Amino acid sequence: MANNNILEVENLNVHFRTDEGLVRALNGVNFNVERGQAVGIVGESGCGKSVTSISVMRLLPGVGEIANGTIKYYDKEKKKHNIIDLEADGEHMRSIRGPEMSMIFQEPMTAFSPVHTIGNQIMEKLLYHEDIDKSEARRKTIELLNKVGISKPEQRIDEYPFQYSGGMRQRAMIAMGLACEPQLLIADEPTTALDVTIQAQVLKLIKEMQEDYNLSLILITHDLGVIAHMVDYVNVMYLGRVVESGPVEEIFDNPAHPYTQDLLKSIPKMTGNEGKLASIEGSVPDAYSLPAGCPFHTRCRKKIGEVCESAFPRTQEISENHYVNCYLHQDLGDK
Amino acid sequence: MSKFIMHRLIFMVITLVVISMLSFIIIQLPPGDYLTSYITQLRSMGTDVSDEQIDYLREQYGLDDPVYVQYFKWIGNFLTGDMGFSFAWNRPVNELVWERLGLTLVISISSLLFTWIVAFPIGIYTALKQNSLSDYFFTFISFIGVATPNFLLALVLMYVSFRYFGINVGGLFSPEYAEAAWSLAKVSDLLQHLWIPVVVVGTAGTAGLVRIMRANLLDELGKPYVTTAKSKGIPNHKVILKYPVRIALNPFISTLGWQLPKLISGSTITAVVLSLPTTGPLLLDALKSQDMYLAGSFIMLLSVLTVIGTFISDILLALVDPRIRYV
Repeated sequence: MANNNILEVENLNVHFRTDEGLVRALNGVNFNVERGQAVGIVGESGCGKSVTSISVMRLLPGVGEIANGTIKYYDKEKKKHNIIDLEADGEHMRSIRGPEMSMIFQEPMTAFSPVHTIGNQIMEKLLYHEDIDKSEARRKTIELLNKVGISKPEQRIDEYPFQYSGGMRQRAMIAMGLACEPQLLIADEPTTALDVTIQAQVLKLIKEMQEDYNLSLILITHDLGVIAHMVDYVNVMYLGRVVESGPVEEIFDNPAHPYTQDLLKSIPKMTGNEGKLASIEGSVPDAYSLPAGCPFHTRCRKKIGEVCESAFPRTQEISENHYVNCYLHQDLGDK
Repeated sequence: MSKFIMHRLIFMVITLVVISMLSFIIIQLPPGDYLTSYITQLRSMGTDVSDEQIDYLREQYGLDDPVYVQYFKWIGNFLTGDMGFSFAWNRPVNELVWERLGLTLVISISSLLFTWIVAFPIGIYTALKQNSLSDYFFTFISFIGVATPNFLLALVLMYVSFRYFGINVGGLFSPEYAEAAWSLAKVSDLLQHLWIPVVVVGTAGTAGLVRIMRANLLDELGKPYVTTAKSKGIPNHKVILKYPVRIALNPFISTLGWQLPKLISGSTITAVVLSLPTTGPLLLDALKSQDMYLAGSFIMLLSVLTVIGTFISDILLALVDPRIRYV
């Protein structure tokens, strides 16, 4: 079974050294991505979703460091790479970053350089990794732009990001992500910066590309509504940990963690008059001083008592492939 | 793009006309004219000047014409390349200016190159190594560089080289070459003298530029497009040179044109201290002695260069930043 995984993240701990102190952004994140699978990572702002993805890509900024854990990646030949052991800017890691895994960023306006053409920025990736000349790279880039639904790509290739609309920029970003035919695509809030009307189109495009290229996908979002149609498996994150994970239907039908339940309640529904939209009380605690025990106990409606403040609950399988870390689902006698 | 340039050109001409009037007004502004200060000078030396003589001189120099006639005479000649006559030097202004322009440009351009060649790598380096020991070291040095007045540095360097090395570094030539015709020996003599003004003029500029480059680059390094470029698997140094450095350089490229007037008027005080045969001290003297055609020509020349410089800057900005080009 392990060999069908493309990515295995185990006990990932990432710290940021800041002037105010150590920020523990990730505190033991575990999740796997199977080949061809679409996996969602959901959570509020600041829960570590993006940090997880840039850690996998080894693009953490200078102040961030991977303190503990393993990230294993299986390439096109199913060869195992221990991502953590590689030098972030080393040749080995760079042969993975790009041709093997690539990333779509949140804000396509700022994620492209404003003074280089879209074509230049996509061709750069092809030219660097593949043994092709400029005209071939250009041909491939036009093909990619066409594939993601940009009209007149022969013309558009020479335009600058500010000449594209928001949705087109994100399409171009997807085209850039697909260049060099990676296996794993990480989409970090790919629709957050877009108009609602464009969001659905871009998500549909990502889904189509995933099927066409047989990609494994990690979709990071704070929007559970987005997750439902896009992924097979969901990881719910809270304060640098995965607190619940399971097949998407399970998570929606039988959410086990109080946090997941609250998140689901706070999705606006179009049906019926349910009155006020539910929200989760309080706000995410300060990352400089994490609460002891289950990190959610400060906001949890179903808090049992002292046990919740004692230690992080163990991972419990409550149904097939559905895991949760919560004392409500743990036999307290054997703790 | 051509529409953009046409626009700028038209405004440039209008600006120049207004500036020429203003410069003429400015040189007319001080009470009296060159003749009054000349006569005072003559009288103080005991030479008696009769009223007829004065009237004759006034008429000859056209100083009694109405102001606008004087203006049109002046600007008309200026357009044909005749910048008038210097009373103080008793020579045409053209000769005076051209004589000094060559060496002025040599000094200005070498200091500009010195500044850029030293400042950009250090600026990039300190930004990449932000808050490291070497960053603090260069920051310290550049603050001192910014804070030291150029002429003081000139005095110190002159003192040190004379006291400890026995070399007189004032001027641009050793006495034996000053009037000699150009030869290889004279060029090497020039190079021996050149480094002092270049270092003096360049130091403050370098220090300032290091700070600006560092700040610009630090702003850019954190931008998302840098992470995007890295996510393509491109090596860090290539990413940094292609994206953030390129964008951090934009303000410098686009203000390159503004260096143009500085090439002539820059570092006047340093030039006085080092007794360099450049245009700076000439301008200063002309202003002091109300040598109106010389001073006026300088002001006009500087304005023309400023306007042309701005025009060049606009075009360069459009070239380096597509967001301007396509508006």
